[in-house]
Amino acid sequence: MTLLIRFSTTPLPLLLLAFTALGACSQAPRTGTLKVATASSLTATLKEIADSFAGQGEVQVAIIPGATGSLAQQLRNGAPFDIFLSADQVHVDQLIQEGLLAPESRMPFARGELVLVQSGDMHGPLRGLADLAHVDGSLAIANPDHAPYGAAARQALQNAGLWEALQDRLIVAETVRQAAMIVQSGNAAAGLIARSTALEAGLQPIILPDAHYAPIIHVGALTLRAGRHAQAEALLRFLLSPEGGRILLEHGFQPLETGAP
Amino acid sequence: MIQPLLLSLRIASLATILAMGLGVGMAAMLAGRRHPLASLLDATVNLPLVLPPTVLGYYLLVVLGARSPLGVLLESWGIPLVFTWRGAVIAATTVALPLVLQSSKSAIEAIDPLMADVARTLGRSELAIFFTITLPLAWRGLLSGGILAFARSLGEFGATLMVASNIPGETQTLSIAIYDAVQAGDQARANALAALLTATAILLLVAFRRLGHRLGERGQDG
Repeated sequence: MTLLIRFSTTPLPLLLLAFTALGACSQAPRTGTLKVATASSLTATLKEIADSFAGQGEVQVAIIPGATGSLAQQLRNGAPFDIFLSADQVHVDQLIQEGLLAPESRMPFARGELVLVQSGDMHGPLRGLADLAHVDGSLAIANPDHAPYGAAARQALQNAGLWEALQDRLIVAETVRQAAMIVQSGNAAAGLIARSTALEAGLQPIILPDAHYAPIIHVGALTLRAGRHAQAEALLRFLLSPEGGRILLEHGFQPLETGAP
Repeated sequence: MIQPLLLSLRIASLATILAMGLGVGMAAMLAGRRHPLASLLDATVNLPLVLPPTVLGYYLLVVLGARSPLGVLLESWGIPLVFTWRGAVIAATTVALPLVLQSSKSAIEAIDPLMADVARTLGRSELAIFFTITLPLAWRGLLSGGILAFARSLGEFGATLMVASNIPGETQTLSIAIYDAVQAGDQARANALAALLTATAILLLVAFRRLGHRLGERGQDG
């Protein structure tokens, strides 16, 4: 019996309960956080936009970056996002059809650009896609199956007739951010990523006049979940404001006027 | 930076409490049994040791997600599990449970069954036997199961990312915050977070071990 009493008074359960309480306290002020699921190419941009937006009122913004396709899948499985910022139109339109996004809120707001980046260790600058045929080393791209910039990279390489030749030198990353990281750390000689991500990662973006791919249009929309944040629409609108446009431009996007494609 | 740490500690603590409750209960039920159903339950609970966390996360999504009947029910009650901190607790509990079950079961099976039989002849109930014989004799094994469960929960990543995503302040635990920082190429933050997690883990493991020794000494006096 004495052993039993000692067991039940061991500090272990108390310690665990203390952590629990501690965690609960830190949670309290975060209720009412605006949750924005965003294509990973927009991560840095959105941080600045969120700061600028939060400065106007009392709202906290949580940014959930990911590949557009992965985030769409999370929405289908019940992820409690308020806003979805996609790097393409297809996923938004599918989610509208599935009744997960509000159709009237669908808003194209920026056009993205695919650029070439190269690792700092590499000798000789690359000038365009054609140079990739002679590069000694791997090429990092985002996964074409669920990341729009990955799909654009595949399309550009196919149109340049390089896709087959580069197959065994491709490193397929989960997102453009990860592809940038692979180049940045010298694990790939070059990468095809979003211009915004190149700027975020401090990689010199090489513009590709010879790359042909379908325009990359970033589209935002509000989710249809119950209890959506009251400020969600205001943040989405902010992307089209002059201040929002200035931030988008600064991060390597071409802002779109309301009503553009 | 402190927020992912507190979240990790909270989720790991809750998962440990849940896994201990379930695991010790199951161990008491399954100890010494050779029934095929008991073996099947044992194997099922142990699956997370074998399956990759992605498969586990996928199963949890299928069973608890917004498109499953259970997920719809939970949502209508206002307590959705997936993509909330509760989902992270469920994921951590699932991976921690087999560790508790394993060590509790061996600890309970090591007790001489004669003791329980004697207690039964003296008219003690099964519950009384569990609390006055099984627990006092097996606590060392249970404690080490709990420590393993906490350690495993603190490091849980794969299933959590799939079931709970990477929502800052809600499901972004330390291990997920490290992944996020590496993805963002933010090496300074990744280093700081990794160091924080390593230091926390060492501190806690040393603390738990010392606690175990202290209790062991006291147990021998009594």
